[in-house]
Amino acid sequence: MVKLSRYILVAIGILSAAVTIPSLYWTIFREASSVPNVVYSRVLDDFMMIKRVDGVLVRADSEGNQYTRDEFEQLLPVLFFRQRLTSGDMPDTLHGVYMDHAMLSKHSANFTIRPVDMSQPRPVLWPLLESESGRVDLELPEDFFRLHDRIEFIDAATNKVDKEKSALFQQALEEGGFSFPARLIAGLPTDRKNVDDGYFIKDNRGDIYHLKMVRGAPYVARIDIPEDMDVIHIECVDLATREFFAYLFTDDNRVFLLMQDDYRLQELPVEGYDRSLHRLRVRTDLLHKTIGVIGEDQVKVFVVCNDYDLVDTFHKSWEPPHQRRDHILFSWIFPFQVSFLNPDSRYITLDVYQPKGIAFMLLHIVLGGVALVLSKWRQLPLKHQLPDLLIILFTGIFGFIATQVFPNKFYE
Amino acid sequence: MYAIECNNLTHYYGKKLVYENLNFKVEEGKILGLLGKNGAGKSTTINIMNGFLHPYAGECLIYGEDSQHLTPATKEKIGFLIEGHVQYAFMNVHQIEKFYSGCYKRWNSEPYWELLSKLQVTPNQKISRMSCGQRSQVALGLILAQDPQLLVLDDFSMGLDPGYRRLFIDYLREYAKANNKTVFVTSHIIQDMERLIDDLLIMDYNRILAQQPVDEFMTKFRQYNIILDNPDIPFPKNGLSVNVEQIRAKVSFYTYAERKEVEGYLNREGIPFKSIEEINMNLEDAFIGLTGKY
Amino acid sequence: MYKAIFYKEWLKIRWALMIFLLLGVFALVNIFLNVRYGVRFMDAHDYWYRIIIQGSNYAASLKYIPLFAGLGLAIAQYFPEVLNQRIKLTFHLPIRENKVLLMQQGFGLAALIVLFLIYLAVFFIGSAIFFPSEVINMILVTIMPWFLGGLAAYSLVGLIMLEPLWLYRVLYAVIAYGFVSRFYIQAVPMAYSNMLWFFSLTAVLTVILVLFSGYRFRKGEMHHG
Repeated sequence: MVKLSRYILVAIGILSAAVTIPSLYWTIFREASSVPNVVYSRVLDDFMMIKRVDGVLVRADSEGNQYTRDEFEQLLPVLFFRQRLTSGDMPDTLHGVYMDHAMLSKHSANFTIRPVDMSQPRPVLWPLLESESGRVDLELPEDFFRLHDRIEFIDAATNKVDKEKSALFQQALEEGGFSFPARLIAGLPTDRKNVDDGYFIKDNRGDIYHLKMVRGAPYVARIDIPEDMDVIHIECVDLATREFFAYLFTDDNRVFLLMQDDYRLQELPVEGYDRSLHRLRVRTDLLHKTIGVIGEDQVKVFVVCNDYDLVDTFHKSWEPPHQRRDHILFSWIFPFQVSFLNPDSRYITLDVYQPKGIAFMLLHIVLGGVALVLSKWRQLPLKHQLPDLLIILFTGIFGFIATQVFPNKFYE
Repeated sequence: MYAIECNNLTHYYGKKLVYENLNFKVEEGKILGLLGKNGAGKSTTINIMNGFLHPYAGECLIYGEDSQHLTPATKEKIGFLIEGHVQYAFMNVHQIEKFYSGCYKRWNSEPYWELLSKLQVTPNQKISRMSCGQRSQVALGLILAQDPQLLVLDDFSMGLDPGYRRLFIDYLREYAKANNKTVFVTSHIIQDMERLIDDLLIMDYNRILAQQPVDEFMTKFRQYNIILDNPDIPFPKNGLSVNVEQIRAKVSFYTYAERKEVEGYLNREGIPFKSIEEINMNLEDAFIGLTGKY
Repeated sequence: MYKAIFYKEWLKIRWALMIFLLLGVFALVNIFLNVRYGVRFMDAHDYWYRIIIQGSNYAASLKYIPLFAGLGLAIAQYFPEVLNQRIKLTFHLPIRENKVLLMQQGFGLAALIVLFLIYLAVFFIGSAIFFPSEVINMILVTIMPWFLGGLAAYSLVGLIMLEPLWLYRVLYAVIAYGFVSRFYIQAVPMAYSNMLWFFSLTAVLTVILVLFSGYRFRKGEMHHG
């Protein structure tokens, strides 16, 4: 039992070391990696980018020609329309479209979604706002609803279920064909938006339903989703143009817009997008949409016009992280890193990062030798040390520290 | 079977040798006193005997069991007084008796309360708030109530008044002899030991100086005071003497040899002397004579 | 004999238990007075919104109380044993040394668990007045690691206190800090929901660790130089 307690302690020691020491390493040695910000110029009809090189912002086109800030912004009048209008050098039209300030402003939108946004705890209850109150501002309701095997509205002040309202909505959902329990709920649970569009809910069969409260009455609509499509994430937006409700993400990494007209699905070109690895950025303006799939070692950009026809694509990749100096040095020192906090999730997870290759084995063998010498100096019997040496061989510096902190001194 | 048996006990503190190949046996019913200066290895021996120290080499057997792996049944037979009368001082005299009585099957609280009746303590007084002497009485009372076969008392006399010490020693010896108890004691106060023990074991740095029954030791180990004719002649340190202390012409000569042997030795060494006188020693004198003053 | 051992442990920890019981209940009453205020004097739905949508934890002030309870109880149990090496008395009792250590540890742990169950019961009863089960569950999942951390801290302090050599006490303390702090990571509510099994398992495994330093004490590590 005592030996077992020592091994548990060694395990705890290895865990602690594997969390803290690599973290310290990155704080000291991490190299800044800069991802270029790629935009599309409708003046040049080509891509341009801003990148940080050695701490300096460099603005260039796809051929590498560099521009000053003013030059750069002049080639991107739709993006920098406010500056252009202030400077007075805004063209009247571009590609036959009139450059009106109000229109430019209305159509300008930015959307970003990162892996962490899809991996976080969801609200346990939701507020269903009144969509058409007739008032200018939206108001938060006085109740929240739960939606698992049935829908129930709970009044916040009394903590009691509103049986009437709940029954009303339950009936509406059932009549609409909703199959309980709900698997996914998405919406914008805030009153700080222009319009309330309620919630989009995935039912037990995988169908998507639209739920709203209109003048106190339930509004339920079923959205046609192809059989083979499995929607696993919905991100709602509040667009001034009211063009679409939300971005839909499928299991096989396809991205769709849920259009407001008739709940039509519009697919976006996002070839190679992996929602667990990449950041997706969609920049909307009056003339086009720029879709960026951004990873640690590559950028892919797709430009579509307002009919969603693909206009142009851009792809650039650079050395993957494991080829960078800081990662290579890491692989010579540490066999792995453990962390509970992960930039790609708001959950606490047991994340284990393993560097490429086994360069660390050299250090492991050296440490094993040191441990052997130390045990000889302390006159400890060799065969007792074998499990420790094995531990050091596999866990390197972490195991070495742990086995030294919790001495392997057993008699008989 | 011996109550205590230590074979080839060797221990190091780091690189420093405490002692090597210590051998001794304690028969049941005997009282053994372990005497030695501070740092001579008394605590080491007590710790090994009670399973609180793993020796570098050798073994110590208590009732035939390895002291490193004493069974509960054997531990029940051992009454252990820790140096400094260490006890659970957060308890009061009632709580501590209640606690220990639940641990030992043969618990007899009479001697405990008898000893305590002589103390001036309030019923709820915590042991931590008692004087040194009061605490020692509690500790001793607990051991007597446990009724062990073997008593290991590490420096039992610490903090006790002389009168009380005398009383306790007489009580202990009578109790031990009447009930055939085995006792292993250490103490700084040698006069106490003289009244109590049957056998002695005198330790010095790294070695055992004497290991025999007390009366045998007292008869055989002698002190002679020698007045020299010529104090300038260097006096031989080794040879017949175990220890020699010289202040000018006066020499205190400690030896196991008889007077005639000493005279003959001095003559052979060519040391002229005026007189030679045998001095009666008590155990303390003998101890100092054996181990030296420092 | 276990009755006697439990009696001894009870004598040592009863005041610490009482203190933490009062402290915890006081903190919880305070929490629910604040909740009551939030529900009645702010707009209730605004208050709920803060909690459900914005991730405000109404039990946040409870965070380190289980940790201090674990630390305090372990200190109350082991400090009197470590002082003057009194643990030698415990090891000398007619019972196997590992068994008596586990008994003591088990008693303390049981007392701590009972204390925590009382906290959780008060939490549950108070919450049920104001919140639906989903919210209670959400906050429960959020605060559970704090209790598990208190259990782990209890076991590790025992290990640290019994260790005979000061150098190793410090080293163990450093590692224990690194480990226990993982139970108190600042994160959104319910962040630990997928890892509660892991933290529960590791908290349970820490129970026997005290045997390690107990063994080192018995082999006389302080006398080996």
